[in-house]
Amino acid sequence: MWMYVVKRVMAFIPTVFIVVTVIFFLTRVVPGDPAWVLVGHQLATEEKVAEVRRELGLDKPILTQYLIWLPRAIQGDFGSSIFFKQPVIQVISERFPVTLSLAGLSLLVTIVVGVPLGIISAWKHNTKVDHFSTIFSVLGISMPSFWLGFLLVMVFSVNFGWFPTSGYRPLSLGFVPWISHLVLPVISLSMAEMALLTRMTRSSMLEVLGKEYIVTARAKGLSEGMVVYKHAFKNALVTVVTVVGLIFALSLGGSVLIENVFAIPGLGRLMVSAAIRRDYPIVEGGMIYFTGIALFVNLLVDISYTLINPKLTYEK
Amino acid sequence: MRSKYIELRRFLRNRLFLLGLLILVPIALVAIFAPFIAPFDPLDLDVKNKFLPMNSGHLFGTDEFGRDVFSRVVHGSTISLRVGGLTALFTSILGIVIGLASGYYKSMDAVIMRVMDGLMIFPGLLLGIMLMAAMGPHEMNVVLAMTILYTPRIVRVVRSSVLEIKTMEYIDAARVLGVHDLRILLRHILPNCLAPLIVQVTFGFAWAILVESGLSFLGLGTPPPAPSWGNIIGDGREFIRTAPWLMIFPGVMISAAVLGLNLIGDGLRDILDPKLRHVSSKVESSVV
Amino acid sequence: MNRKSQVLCLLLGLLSLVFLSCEGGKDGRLREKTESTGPVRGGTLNVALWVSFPTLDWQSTVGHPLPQVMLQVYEGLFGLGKDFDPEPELTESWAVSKDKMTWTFGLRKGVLFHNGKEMTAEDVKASLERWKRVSPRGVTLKELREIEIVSKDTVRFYFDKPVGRFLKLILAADESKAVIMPKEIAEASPQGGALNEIVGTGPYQFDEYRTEEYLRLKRFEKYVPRTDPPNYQTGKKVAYLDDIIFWIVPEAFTRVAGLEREEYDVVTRLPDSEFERLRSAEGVEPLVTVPALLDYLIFNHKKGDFADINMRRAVQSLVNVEEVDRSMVASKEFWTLNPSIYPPESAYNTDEASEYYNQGNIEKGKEFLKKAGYRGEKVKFLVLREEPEIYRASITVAEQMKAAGIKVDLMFYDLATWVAKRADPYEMDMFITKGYWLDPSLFHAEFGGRFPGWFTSPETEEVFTELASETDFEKRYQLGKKLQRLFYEKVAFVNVGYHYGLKAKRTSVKDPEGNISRGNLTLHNVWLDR
Repeated sequence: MWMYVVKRVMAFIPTVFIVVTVIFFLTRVVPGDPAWVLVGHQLATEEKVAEVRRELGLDKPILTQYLIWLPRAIQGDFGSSIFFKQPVIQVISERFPVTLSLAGLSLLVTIVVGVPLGIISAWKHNTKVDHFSTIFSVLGISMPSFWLGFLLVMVFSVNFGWFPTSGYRPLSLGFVPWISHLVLPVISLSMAEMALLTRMTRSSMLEVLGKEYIVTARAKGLSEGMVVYKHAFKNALVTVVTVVGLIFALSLGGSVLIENVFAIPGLGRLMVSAAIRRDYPIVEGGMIYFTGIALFVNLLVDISYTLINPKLTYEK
Repeated sequence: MRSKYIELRRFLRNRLFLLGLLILVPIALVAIFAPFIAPFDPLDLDVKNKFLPMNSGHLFGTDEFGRDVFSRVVHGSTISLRVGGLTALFTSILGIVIGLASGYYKSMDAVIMRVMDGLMIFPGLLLGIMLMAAMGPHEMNVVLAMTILYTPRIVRVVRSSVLEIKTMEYIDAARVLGVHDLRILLRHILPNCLAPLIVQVTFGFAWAILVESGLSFLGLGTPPPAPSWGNIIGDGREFIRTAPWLMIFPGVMISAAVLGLNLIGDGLRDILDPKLRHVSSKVESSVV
Repeated sequence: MNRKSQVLCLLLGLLSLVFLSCEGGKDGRLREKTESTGPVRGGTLNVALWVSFPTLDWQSTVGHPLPQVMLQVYEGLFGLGKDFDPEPELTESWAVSKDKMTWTFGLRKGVLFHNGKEMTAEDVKASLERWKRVSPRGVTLKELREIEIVSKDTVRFYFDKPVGRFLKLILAADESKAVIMPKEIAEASPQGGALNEIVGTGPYQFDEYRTEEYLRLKRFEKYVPRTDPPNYQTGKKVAYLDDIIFWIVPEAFTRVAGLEREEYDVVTRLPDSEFERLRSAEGVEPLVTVPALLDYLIFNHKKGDFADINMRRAVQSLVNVEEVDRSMVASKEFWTLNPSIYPPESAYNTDEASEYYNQGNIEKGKEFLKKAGYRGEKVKFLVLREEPEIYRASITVAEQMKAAGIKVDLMFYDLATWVAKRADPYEMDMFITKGYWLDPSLFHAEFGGRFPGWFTSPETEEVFTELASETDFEKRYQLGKKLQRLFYEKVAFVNVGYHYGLKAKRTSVKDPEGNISRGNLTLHNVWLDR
C-alpha cells in the first residue's frame, strides 16, 4: 500500500509544479504593488515606495524572483508574508484550525444529515419523504451560500438573537463560544453539501436496491433493515466516500465566501485579502497548502475504497 | 415527423426537465427582452428617491442611488445568462477539442490530463479569485476565468466517452479502411459523446451563474455599475437592515436560474443517457 | 405536477419567512437603567473596526485603522485638542527663535514607557529621526536639519528654513503621528513597517494581536497623566478600562448587529442609512463624526486630456455636488454643501471663490469641452472599491460627466491596484478620494507636485512658502483664502462634497468629553457603566 501512496504523490508533483509556476507568474505580472499598500495610500511618495520595493526584492526581474523562490519553496520555505512580517508557514498554520473547524464541522453535519436522508428517501422511494428530500437537495444546491448566510444572520442573529452575528472564538476559549460562532456559518456552508450528498446517496442506493442480489436477499426473507444496511448501504458506500472526499475539498474553497460573510479569520479570507494586497508569498504558499490538502483527501478516499471493498486492488 | 414528435414527447414527459424549463424559460425571456420589460434605465440615478421600499412605481423598490431595483434585476438576468452561456459555449468548444485529442491520441493524453488534474485539484472558487485578482474585474475576464476552471470537467467527460467508443469495432474498421482521423473523430466519435457533454455543460451553465455571483459579491466579478445579480447583492449588503429588498430579489433570481438549469440537467441525464450513472460525472454538478 | 407545486410552496414559504423576519421588530430586551454615580474602573471595551491592520508600525503608514488603536498606546510631543489645534502632550514648554529656524522643546519629567523605562530627550531624538525617515508625512518635513539633545529633558530642532505653526501641526496630525518610543526600539528597527516592539507612553499598552482577528490593549498601570484638564487627545488621561479589544469586522451590517446584540460596545464606519434606526433603538447611540470629510476629484495634471485646463473647467462646471452628496450618504445630517477646501469645523473655512462651486451646469461644461477640442476620447476614471462613499461618489460623477458627452471608463480596483494605477500618469485621468485639511499648510503634501495628480504651480508654491513661516492667524487666514481661490481658478481638484462619518456606541459606554465622535477613536477617560 505504501508503494501505491508514494506513486500517487509522485504523480501529483508535476501537476502541482505547473500550477504553482503559473500562479507565481500570474500574480506578479499584473499591476498592483504590495509596496504601495504597505506604505499606505494617502501620502505615499514614489521614492518611498521604490525603497520598500528594494527591501522586498520586488525590483528584480520576475524570472530572477522565481529562481530565488523555487529552490526555497521545494524545501518548504515559502518566505515571509509581506504584511504580517511572519513566515508564511506560521501565518497559514495559525489560520488552519479555523478553516478546519468550519470545513470539518460542516462535513460532519453533511454526513450526519445527508447520508440518512439519502438512504431513507431511496428506501421510501416515491413517498413524501422522498419528495421532500428531493426538493431539499435541489434547492440547497441552487442557493448561493453567501446569500443564505446573510438570510440566516438576519433571521437568527438579528431578529431572534440566538447566535452571534460574526467572528470566531478558538476552542481554547471554551466549547460554547466556539460552537455558537460556528452554527450559522456551518449551516450556510453545508447546505449545498448536504443537498449534494443526499442526492448522491439516494441515487446510488436506488441503483443498488434494484440489483438482483437485493431481490434475492429479500426473497430469502431477510429483514428490510438488514437488506438496506448490510447489502445496499455497504455497496453504496463507495459512492458516499467519493462524494465526501470531494465535498471536503469543495468546502475548503467554499469557505472563502462564508468566511467573508461571517468575518471568520480563516484561510479563505487570508487568501482573498492576500490576493487583493498582492501578498505574493501568502498567495503562493496558500495555494500549495490547499493543493496538498486536496491531494491528501484524494489519497484517503482511494485508500478507503480498498477498506470498503478489499477485492479492489491498488493498481488502477 | 412522427419520430420527432415522439422524441419531443419523451422530453416533455420527464418531469424534472419540464419543471426546469418552466423555471428557466421565463428567466431567459426576461433576459432577452430586458430593455422592453424594465420600466427604467438600470443605470439612471435618482438620488432624491433612494431606498424607496417596494411600491407600484418601483416593484422591487430603489437602491442607494435611487435606481429601480426591478429594472436592475431584469437587466441582471441578461448579464448572468450571458456570462453563464458564454462560459458554457467556450468550455464546450475547448472541452471537445481537448477531450477528443486526449482520448484519441494516447501520446497527448498523459500531458493533457496532468494539466487538467492540476486545475481540478484547486478549490475552484479560490483559483477563480486568484485569476480575477490577477486579470482585473471585467465581464469577459469572468468568462475567461470560469472557462479555465470548468474546461477540465468537460474534458474528462468527453475523454471518458471517447475511450469507451474508441474500442468499438466499427472505429477500428474505419481506421483500417484508411478513413482520416479527423473524419472518424467528427463523424463517429463526437456524436456519441454529445449526450454526456450536454448534461455536463448544462451543469456548467448553472455553476457559472453561481460563481459569477460569488465573484461579483467579493468585488472581483462583473464591474459595477453593471447590474449583475452578484453586484446588486454585494452593494446591497451594506444596507441589509434598512433596505433588505436589495439583497432578497437578486438572490431569489440566482437561486431560480440555477435551480432551473440543475433540473434541466438532471432531466437531460435521465432522458439522454439512462446508463450515465457514474459518480464521477454526476458529482460535477454545480456546487461552488 | 405534484412535485412542482411543492417546490413552489417551498419557495414561497422561504420568501415569506424572509419578509416576516425583516418586518418583525426588535424583541423588547429592555434593561433596567441605573443612575450613574461617576466613573467606574474596570471592564473590557469591545470595539469593532472595519478593516485589518496593514502593519503595526504606525510610523510607516498613513493607512487605517492604525490611528484608531495607536492613539491609545502612543503619545507625541503634541496632540490634537478639542478644536483640532495642536496642544502639548509630552512637551511641557517650547520656544521659537526669532528667525523661526530653531525650536526648543522642554519635555515632561517622570514619564514612563510601558517597559518601565523613563522617557528622556534621547528617546525623542531617536523616535523623531526614525519618523522623519520612515513616515510618509515625516519625509515631507525636509527643512528639519538636526535634532540636538540639550539636556535630559530638552531637545532642540534646527531648520534650514523658517518654520511656523506648521511644525506643531505635522507633529500632532493623527495619521502617521510623530510618536515617542524608547530609543533602543526605534534604533533596532530602522526600516519602516518592521517595528519589533510596540512600546509607548500612552494610558493603554499593547497586549496581544491575532492577525485579522483582534488586537488587545490593557491598562498601563504606571501611566503618568498630565495635570491640565482633559482636552481631546491630550490633557489629563485616565485609563478606566481593564482592557480594550479591537475586533476586525469587515461587514458593516454585522458591526451594527453586533452592537445591538451587545457583542461590541463601540463600532466604527457605519453606513449612515443606519442612523435613524440606531437613534430610536434601545441602548445604543449613533455618533456623527467630526470633522467633515472633503470628497475631492483629482485630475492628472501631467498627461492626457486633463492637463488642459478647459477639460478640468468642463468637469468643474458640470458637477452637481448636491446629487453627489445625496448618493454618497442617505440622510441630510450626513452631508453639507460647503464651497471651502477647509472643513466647516476649521477656522479657515471660507466661501472665497464659491462661484466655481456646485454649478451643475451641463451646457457650460459642454462649452468648455468644445474649447478644449474634446473628441470623445475615453477618460480613465479610477475607482476604489473598498470605500463605499468614494465608490458611490465616483459612479454619480461619472454619470454627470456622461450627460455632458464625456466618455467615461470607470475602472474599479482594490486598494493595491488602485494606488499603483493612480501613480502611473499613463493609466489615470482622474480619481476621487477624501480627507480633511484643518490648516492650509497641510495641503502642500498633496498639492506640491509629488502626490498623484501632480498639481503644482508657482503661485501656490509661493503661498505655501509664506504659510510655512507665518504665525499670525489673521494673515494665515488671508493666505488660506488666497490658496482656495487659486485652487478653484486652476482647478487643482473639484470639491464634490462633504460628508460626515457615522460611529455608534452602547449607552453603557460613558464618554464625558465626547471624544469618540471626534476623528479617530480616543478612548482614555472612557468608562463602562454596567
